[in-house]
Amino acid sequence: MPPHSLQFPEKLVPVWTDFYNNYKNAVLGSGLKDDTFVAEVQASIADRVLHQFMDPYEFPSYHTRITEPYDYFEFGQRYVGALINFDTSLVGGEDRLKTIAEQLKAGENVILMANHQTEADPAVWAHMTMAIDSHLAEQVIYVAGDRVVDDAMCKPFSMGRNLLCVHSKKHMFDDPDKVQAKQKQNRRVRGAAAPKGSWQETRGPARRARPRG
Amino acid sequence: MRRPTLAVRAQATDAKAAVTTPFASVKSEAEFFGTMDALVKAGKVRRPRGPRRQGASRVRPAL
Repeated sequence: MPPHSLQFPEKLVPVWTDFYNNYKNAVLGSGLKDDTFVAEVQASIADRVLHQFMDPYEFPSYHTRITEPYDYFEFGQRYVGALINFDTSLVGGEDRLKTIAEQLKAGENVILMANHQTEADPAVWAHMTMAIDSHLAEQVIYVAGDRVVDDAMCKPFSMGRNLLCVHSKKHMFDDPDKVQAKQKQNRRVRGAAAPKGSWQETRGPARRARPRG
Repeated sequence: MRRPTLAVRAQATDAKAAVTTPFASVKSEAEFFGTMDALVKAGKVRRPRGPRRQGASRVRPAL
């Protein structure tokens, strides 16, 4: 199908209606935002998703967050920020976070382990740590599985984060035609040789892994 | 413990993006779903036309 005549999938309408209403109820419940804000945020997501239908972005094994010409980082922060109650949310372990920030600035690597990471977690992390250290908030490298780099509704949010794109064993054989490509990408991510400019060469960003099981 | 601050820019901008969709100008829920319905009915989303190349012919050349 040529990119200029892509069809808007009708099956997405009920899904998006639920998505819209859930977001609206959550945001309006805070009393801090209004209907116009909800409509604009939802429209920005639909706009970005349609861009993916027209011109799909393919994630490399190491994806660097995109902030120009469109700022996908702020796009995600805006969406998730309205779901956070900043008056009651507190950041624990500030001393450790400051230590991490200092270690990163000294050129050390830091690996953060988390279980059951959700798509919203990177944005929540950035919101929570921005007041402590902006580098710590913005420069984390997340480990991303299939869905966050393949699903058109997830992709715009993923594009605003630094990602190591890997394929889990769980979904490795979902599509037999893609097994080889997935295995090749996994080897590239963990490759022993670090090509110039690859993530292995980078120093400073924190890395947040999402192991399975 | 430190309270985080909400430091989100007012509006994510798309000033330099090459492609726009009808959703870019939505300001209300009715406009959002109206746009979605229209796109489903239209069955397609068109890219905005760019400037014509200088010297490009509007006439399809004869074979």
